Amino acid sequence: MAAASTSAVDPAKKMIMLTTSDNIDIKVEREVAERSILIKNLLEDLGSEGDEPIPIPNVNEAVMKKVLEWCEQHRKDPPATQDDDSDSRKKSTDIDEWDQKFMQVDQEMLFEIILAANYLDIKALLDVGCKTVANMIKGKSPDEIRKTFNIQNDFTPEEEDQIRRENEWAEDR
Amino acid sequence: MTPKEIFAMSFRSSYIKSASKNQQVLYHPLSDSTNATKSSAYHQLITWFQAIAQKVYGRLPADLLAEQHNAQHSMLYRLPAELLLLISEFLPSTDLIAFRMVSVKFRRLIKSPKLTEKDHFAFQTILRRASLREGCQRERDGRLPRSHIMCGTCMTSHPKSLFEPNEWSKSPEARMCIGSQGVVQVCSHIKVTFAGARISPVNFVCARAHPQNNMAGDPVHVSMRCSKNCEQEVVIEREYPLLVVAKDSKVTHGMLMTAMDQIREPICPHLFAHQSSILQNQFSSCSARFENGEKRSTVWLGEISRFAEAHGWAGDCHVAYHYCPNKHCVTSLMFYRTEDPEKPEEYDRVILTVVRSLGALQSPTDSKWIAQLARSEDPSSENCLVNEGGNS
Repeated sequence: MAAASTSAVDPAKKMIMLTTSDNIDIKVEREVAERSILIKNLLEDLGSEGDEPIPIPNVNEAVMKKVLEWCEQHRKDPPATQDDDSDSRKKSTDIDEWDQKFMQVDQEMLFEIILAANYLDIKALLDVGCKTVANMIKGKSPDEIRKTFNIQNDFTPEEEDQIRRENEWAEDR
Repeated sequence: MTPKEIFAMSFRSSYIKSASKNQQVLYHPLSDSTNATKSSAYHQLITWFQAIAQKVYGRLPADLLAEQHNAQHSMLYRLPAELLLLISEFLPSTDLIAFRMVSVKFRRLIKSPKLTEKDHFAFQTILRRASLREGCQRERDGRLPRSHIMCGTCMTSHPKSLFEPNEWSKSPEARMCIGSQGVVQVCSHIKVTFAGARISPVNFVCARAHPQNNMAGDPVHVSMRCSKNCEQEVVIEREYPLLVVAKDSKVTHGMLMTAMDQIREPICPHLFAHQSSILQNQFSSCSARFENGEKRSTVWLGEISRFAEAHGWAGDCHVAYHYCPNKHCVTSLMFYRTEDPEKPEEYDRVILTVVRSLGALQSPTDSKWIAQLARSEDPSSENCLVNEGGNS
């Protein structure tokens, strides 16, 4: 979108309507909503009329607003390069400052955002969410990870034994 | 539907069926409100299901229950596999090890990472830090034994007595025990901390001149190395050339004491060579100690008998072997007589060898290590014969 925004005729500035799972209508600029590949494709398929609201049955109002807040902030970002197949294992978990603040939400919201980003196909937001979770896991022992994410140990004593044997090298000298 | 889900279903339906047969109101063990009835039927059922579950899946309901809990209450656990995999892509291998150890689901989903030696170390550090965090929390909650407090350096708890009193009030993360705080004076030039002594290989030699006006005029040899008789232990060895004497002359006790007086550095934190009167008293008792087998070290046996055979000491001064009287301090002194390297035909040398064992350096709380620490004053250590005078 190199062209400067000028008038209401600009299709990017046109308002569209989204209907969330809890039947709330949210008005949003088309350019912002199109950070979501799902919505973008829907709009293209529906033709550019866009007068009727688009149903988003998997995302509720609170989460949708949060997601749109992110899209608003990142509306001018260049589209993600589609090289996610490149097998570069070590991915950086650096998150820019705004996104870090944005992700300071309770765990439930964090995972809702991840699920919504996955559903709405917003790769960059999905990455930020997963990085945030990865950072919550980093540096923790298995027990601490369990505590953080409310997970109970579901290994049988035998399995536990096997894991211990596999990790004998980790025993404190 | 996975076999497990089918099983969980059958668990539920058969449970209810049996319960109605017993005509009792029972709580479902999987429901949140298991405010448990302790009825015998309940327990019977549990054992019955345990038996079945073990037979069919090799798993106990405890694990099934945990799994059920996770599937209901953990947002992370509930994420679809592809998202869990995406998250795992952002984790370095060390954290992947921990992540895979969290639950059966993660372990099956995520491939075991290839680990290097460095990763092993990093993972050990993660575990130790976690146990430190847990320990500090326990201390703050008052859940540690009252006699113990956490040591931030060792990342574990020690008895209070292993800390200087001014450390007690510090925050547990910042606290250091005596063993990790203190230094061992290797010689007058070199001090070493526990962390420093752990850096391997331990072998080194101090090449600087030592303040000793020895009559032989030779440099004092200082080295630190693994013990000869116990590979695990690290020792500091010092050799002081004490005397040069004519081939056939006897070495008297007095000569030895005079030469010892010239050594101006402490032998260990408890013994000072120039306080020969104290040593002298000790000399008379150490043959008894030796026979008791206390702190016996076989390496020296040959040396002593050879010495006794070949070179007589004057009078009753036949014991050439000595220990530090401190119960925990493993320091031994040995005098030996050998041919003078320059004029072997005419002269002999008498050499004092001091060997201080620092222990296996497994933990800074090892009593052998603590006994060797240099101290300004000596408030507590029992059995300490020399605690005033210092090296003034």
